[in-house]
Amino acid sequence: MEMAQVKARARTALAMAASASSRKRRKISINNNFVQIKSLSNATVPATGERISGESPASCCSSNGSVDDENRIIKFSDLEVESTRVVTSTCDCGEQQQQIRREMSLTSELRITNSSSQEVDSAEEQITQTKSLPPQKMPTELELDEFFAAAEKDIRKRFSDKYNYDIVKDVSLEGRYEWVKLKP
Amino acid sequence: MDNLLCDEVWLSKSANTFEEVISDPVALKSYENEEFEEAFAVCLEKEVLCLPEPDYTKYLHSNNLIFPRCRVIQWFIKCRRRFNLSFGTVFLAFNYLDRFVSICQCNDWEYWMLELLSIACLSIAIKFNEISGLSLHEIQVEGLDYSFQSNVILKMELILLKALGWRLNSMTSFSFAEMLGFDFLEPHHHVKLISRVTDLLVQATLDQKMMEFRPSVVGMSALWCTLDQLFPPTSDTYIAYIMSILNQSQKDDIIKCHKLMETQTSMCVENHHYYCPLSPTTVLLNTHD
Repeated sequence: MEMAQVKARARTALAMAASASSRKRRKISINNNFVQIKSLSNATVPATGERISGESPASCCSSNGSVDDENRIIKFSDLEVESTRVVTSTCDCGEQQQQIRREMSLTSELRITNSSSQEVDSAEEQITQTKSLPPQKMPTELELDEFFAAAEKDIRKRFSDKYNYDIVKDVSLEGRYEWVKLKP
Repeated sequence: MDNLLCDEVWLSKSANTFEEVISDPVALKSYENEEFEEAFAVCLEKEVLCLPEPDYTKYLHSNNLIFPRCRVIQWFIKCRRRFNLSFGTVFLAFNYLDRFVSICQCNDWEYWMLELLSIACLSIAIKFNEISGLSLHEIQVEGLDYSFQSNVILKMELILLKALGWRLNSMTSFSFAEMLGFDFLEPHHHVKLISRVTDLLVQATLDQKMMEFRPSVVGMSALWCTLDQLFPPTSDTYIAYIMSILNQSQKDDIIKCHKLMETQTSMCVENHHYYCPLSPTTVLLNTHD
């Protein structure tokens, strides 16, 4: 439903652009289209379906001010990407299509740059947190188990050597003690 | 049971002896005390049961454990100060550490293993010898490179107890010095004697050359050095008496150890370092407690 509405608005915008006569004016109208597209994507944010369908061109113009809000743009970058795809697929004019694509790719590059810089910031925060913590080295579970197993093995061997008897196998070994089996 | 009775009887005799003595430190009649000689003989027999394996020093050297062991010994000493533990407790921990390392000769010792073992040794020594205990978290507060969870330490403690054969009441160099020295002199001599003797004993523990001697030999040598320094007249008479109840090989060991300790002591004074291993192959630690 939303996609259909978006498509409809896109066609309207393109139709308005086609009516322009001069090159300079066309360029301006292309920009307007881009701005309108942004507005449309912003407008789709509200959860209320009725509000979306009830919007008029006047309300689109009134929401232009929010385009400057970088946080909002960054926040809803996924929605804008989807809208961009829809608009691109509905273009009729080759020249206009190329220009629109270039501008959109620039915008998306900016977004990627912003998001990557944010990732860098968060990475730095993690490093800072790591540095501030006192050094808490711990051996791994495997290392501990190996150490304990080796120690216990040595203890058992020591006992076997001393009493020449293997407790695990319940067998007497050669040594100084002579073991006699008793019947209970 | 017999040991306990014997010790009790001897102590009461000791108390009587102190009352008899006027103010002359030279005339200590307890030299002729038969109960003391019996107790001393029992302690010498008991000592053998709680020693590291033979050639322990060679094992430490061949496995590059001399320096890590020194670090750990120093940590014990810092803990003694921080938690106000008795020297008896600390020397028990030394003993448990050395016995375990010589018994469980893992192929590849890493430092974290030694730290884990040390925490277990100190924890058990505290439970055995102190009135109030310390939590496993408190023990790990300072001076360690690694931290361990309580269940890991408890498992280490159990393995340690098995390795030691549950023989925890070890005769240490400190316990010999305590028995031979502190109980024989009048109380007002104790402060100087104890602090000086314990300094020598800690140095001996850090010194790999000293590790070849039994605790009784080290304890008696430290006492000898200290008496020579603080109470020269008493020293000659007293040492002559102690020597008279020992066999020839024990005498030879004490004389050798005493000479070595005197040499190390003079070097130590020149260096102005305390609790500092003086063996040439050991890296000097700049710890001044």
